[in-house]
Amino acid sequence: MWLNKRKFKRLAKARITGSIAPGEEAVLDKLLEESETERREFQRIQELEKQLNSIRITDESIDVTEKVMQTIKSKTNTAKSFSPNTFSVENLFPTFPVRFAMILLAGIFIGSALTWVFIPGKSGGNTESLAGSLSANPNQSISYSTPNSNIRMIPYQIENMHYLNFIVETGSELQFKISYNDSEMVIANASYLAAEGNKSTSYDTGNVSFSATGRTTFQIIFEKVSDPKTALTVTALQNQSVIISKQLFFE
Amino acid sequence: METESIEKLISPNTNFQVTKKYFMNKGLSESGIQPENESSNEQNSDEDHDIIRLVLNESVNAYRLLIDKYQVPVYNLFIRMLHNREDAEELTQDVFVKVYEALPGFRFEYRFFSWLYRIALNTALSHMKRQRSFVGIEHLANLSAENNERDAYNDIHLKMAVEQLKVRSRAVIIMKYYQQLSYREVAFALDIPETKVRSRLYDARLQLKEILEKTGYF
Repeated sequence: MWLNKRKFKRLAKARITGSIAPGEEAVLDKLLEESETERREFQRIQELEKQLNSIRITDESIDVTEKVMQTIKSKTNTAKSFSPNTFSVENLFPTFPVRFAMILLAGIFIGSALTWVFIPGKSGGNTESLAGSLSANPNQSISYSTPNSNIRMIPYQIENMHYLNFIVETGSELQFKISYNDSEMVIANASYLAAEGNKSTSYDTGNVSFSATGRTTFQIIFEKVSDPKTALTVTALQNQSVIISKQLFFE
Repeated sequence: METESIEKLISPNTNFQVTKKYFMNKGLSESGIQPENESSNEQNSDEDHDIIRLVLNESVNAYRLLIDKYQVPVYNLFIRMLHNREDAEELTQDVFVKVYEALPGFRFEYRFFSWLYRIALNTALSHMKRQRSFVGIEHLANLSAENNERDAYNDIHLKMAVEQLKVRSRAVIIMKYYQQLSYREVAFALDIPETKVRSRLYDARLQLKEILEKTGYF
């Protein structure tokens, strides 16, 4: 009896989901014929199916088009207004690997001539060097490696503009946040130069954030508006854990 | 939207053209979903892909075509899952912004509609997990006016029973019967095989049957 009930459930499910074998149809029909309980249960399931299929759908209307487009445009305009004449690397180097390689080489070449102040880079996941403030040691980039990620921050200066390039390779998404004093520095441009994964940037007074998935190059260009030494803080999170927290100084 | 305005949406640099027939096909159902017809689904998908290419080619304005087309089904999915119009509207906006930002990663072997649904459903489920609020069924009394009393009675009872299902079962029932997606589309949205969709639907129906029996409906 119990075995029959179990068999019935299996065959009924198979018939309704469309996966019943031809030989099993006759078995199910026999079970239905022999048991009123099972027959009633099967009929109820079929009736329910019929009712579900005849539900009258009344959709409510909505119009969020303008709000969504405004949100998108305000995010896009915030990025574009920083530097409408930004030279596009994508036009010169159309394929991602070539672009990535060119940017990496450019960053290494330019980074060797910088006048930046920060702690000497140590690779291999030394977390001490990735926290706290930077001591004065120009001409070096900061590198950080884990089994899952490689991060390089390359700062350099051209005339009165300070550049900070992030070159990232990561298996899982990293979130970067750069905080600065907006009365001492302004952002001239902040944009992806290359991105293998999803792009996400946000701006707030004194903050810029971006995400990196896969191979990513992100560049921020600052213009100092005051003479004294000024600082910015770089924080990187992965899986909601802080993996980098660094203060950098501009002379 | 007038046909002439298509040109305004196309960047001068683009090689893609949104065809005039796209607008002639605007006679979609209220929920914006085409009947389950392979050739019309393919055509629909091609049009969506054309629009995506426009957007990726810097014609941001073209994105409004996708919003216009799919905001109603997405909004109604949220209403059915969350039962809160304010939350539903907010999440609808969030989803379309999220989708726009994710467009560079869109894979053209997918249908945009299915991909959108997957993102929307995940958003709904995350929101429900965060809220963990009891959703009262009193809102069901505010159904639109029904002429046929018996149908209204059946519908209300069925909807009340659906409300009492667990989230996973409720999601498949809503997507299949209220959002009228095909098995294949539900499978993609939930990221499970089609056979599993059929199996979950069957289990959900069994649960519904038990609930309806307890409430004396059967």
